[in-house]
Amino acid sequence: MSTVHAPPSPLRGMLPGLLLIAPALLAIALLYVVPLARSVIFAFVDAEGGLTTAHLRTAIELYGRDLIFTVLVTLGSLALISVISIAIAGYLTLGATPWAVTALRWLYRWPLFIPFIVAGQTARSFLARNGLMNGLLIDSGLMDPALAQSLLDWRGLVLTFAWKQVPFVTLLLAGAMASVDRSTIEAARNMGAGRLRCLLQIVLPQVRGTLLVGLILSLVTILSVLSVPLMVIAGNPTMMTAMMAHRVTYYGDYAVANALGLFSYLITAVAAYVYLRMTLSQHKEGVR
Amino acid sequence: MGVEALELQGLSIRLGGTQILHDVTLNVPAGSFTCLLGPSGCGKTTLLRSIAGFAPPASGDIRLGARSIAALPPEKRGTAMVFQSYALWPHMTVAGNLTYPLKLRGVPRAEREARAEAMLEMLGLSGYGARKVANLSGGQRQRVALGRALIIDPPILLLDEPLSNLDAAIRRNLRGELRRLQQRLGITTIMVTHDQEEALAMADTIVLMRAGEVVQVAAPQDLYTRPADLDAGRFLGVDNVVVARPDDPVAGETLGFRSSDARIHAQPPQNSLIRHGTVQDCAYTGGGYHLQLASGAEVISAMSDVPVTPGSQVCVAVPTASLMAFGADQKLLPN
Ligand SMILES: Nc1ncnc2c1ncn2[C@@H]1O[C@H](COP(=O)(O)OP(=O)(O)OP(=O)(O)O)[C@@H](O)[C@H]1O
Ligand SMILES: [Mg+2]
Repeated sequence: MSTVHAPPSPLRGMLPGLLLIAPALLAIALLYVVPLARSVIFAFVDAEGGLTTAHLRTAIELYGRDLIFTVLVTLGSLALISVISIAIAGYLTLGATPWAVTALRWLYRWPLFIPFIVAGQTARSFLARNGLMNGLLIDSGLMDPALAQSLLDWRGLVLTFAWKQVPFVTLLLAGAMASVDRSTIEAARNMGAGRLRCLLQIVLPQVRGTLLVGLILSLVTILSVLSVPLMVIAGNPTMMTAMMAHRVTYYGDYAVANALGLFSYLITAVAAYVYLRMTLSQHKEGVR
Repeated sequence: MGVEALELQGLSIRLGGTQILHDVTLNVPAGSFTCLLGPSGCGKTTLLRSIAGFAPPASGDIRLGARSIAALPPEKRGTAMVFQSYALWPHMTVAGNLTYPLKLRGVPRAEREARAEAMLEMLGLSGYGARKVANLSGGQRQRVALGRALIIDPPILLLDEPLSNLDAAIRRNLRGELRRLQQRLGITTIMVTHDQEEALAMADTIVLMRAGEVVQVAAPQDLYTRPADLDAGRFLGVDNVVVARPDDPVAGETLGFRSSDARIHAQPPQNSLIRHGTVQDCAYTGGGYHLQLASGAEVISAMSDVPVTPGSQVCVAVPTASLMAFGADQKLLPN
């Protein structure tokens, strides 16, 4: 027993931990970082292998309008999603009519189980000029047939995205609202706040982190869904996903598609930054 | 809004299919301090919540001053409740918590802030306005909760065990403070507690409840010396009950008394209940020694100024004034 025990190297101590997270790290690297880096790099590389911003310029020149359209449709959808989910989750939390609350709890989740492509198809037959919605409105005498118009443009997109994402955000939001301390709501009502004020000034501020998470996840979904824009709108301008697919399938032009993809990354990066900043500041508050 | 009297008339409450309150009738005079006292689960919180509008009555009426408030939603009743958990709004500062009720009443900003400042001053929390409520101690939170209720000048103040989360020293302190504040503002107050000492020290009137019913309404001294029945007596610290004998100074089926009134004597005094027994246990309790005696089949607890060796024969006496005589139906007999 004459061997001197060397102090364990810091790396040795970290080894079990490293081994444990290795599979996750590898999966992220292979499936996410490498393709991401590749597409970012290829957005700036020309046919000869030199650096260029030509693809980016082409993308903006050809698809600038689509880009702005995408941003506006996304913001519009998120606004609609927030308003409706807050209303539904708020009613589930504060509603005074038990049977209505139960019914709503049953109903609101159904769109969660419907694939985007089906949602797009349904929206198409519902919102078209001679679609189901206008048919119902005209038959019931609420609308003059001459005024019937197709909603298969930005409005159709906003409605379809909202219809599909509202249940998801509501699910998150209603869960968070249910865990808000009920006595804080009762205290507000006791002090003279009606239900709507309670929702907006007492409940919502306590769950705004969850709302933000729901909206950011919805944003990423909206920016990556291809089937809805393909099904709902024809022609220009359209969502970036449709343009990217078009560029790849018709022209085999990966470079410009990558440049378009870069803009999607930028938009989601902004959202991710906002989210991280908020969770970090909340974390700090929790620690204090 | 001024001080108003509260009146409950035959109030019954059903929650989740079970009857929680049975036909409660109660008059709370304007400006009085009333304590609801009773064992856990007897319906004290439910009674308070029904006054605030969070438990709809199955029958009966609740009147504040001249008007009935039983059908109004909570936000229209104007009662101010301090919740057991304080229920401060965590996303607002201390000042925000105090000013929000005023904002709901359309008070202009400058006045809101001035009143919040004055309230903080009164609560001994000057300079805490900008703090987050999460960073306050229990006692400070309790004061903010109280301030939030008082700032609207409510006609009636409802307190649900406001002191139960605090440690004994702060509690005794706040007990006095709360009572003085109530007297200064003259606000009609109903406080729930299951601590008899707290109720006796603070209340003008104590409402003793049991299993959803009002058992007795009395001033603290009356409740303490003359509990309505044996069960109420036990709840108020009557820990000895003996079968009455013909030569006892008062007549009844059973006689109750507190161990603090039962003393060891060498010579049996006049005008007292006398029992002889064997000391089984003697424990020091700070002020004196607490004894357990076996007297025939009965066990009596008593106090002594000096230690007594277990096994010795002693004589215990209780002054007639400290005795409570109960009938066969366990009700207190008139004296
Ligand atoms: N929402 C409800 N649904 C059904 N039963 C309830 C409900 N709330 C309270 N109860 C029941 O009503 C009874 C009285 O409850 P309450 O909270 O009023 O008691 P308490 O006197 O305040 O007790 P504690 O001193 O423990 O706070 C209890 O038996 C309780 O289980
Ligand atoms: Mg209670």
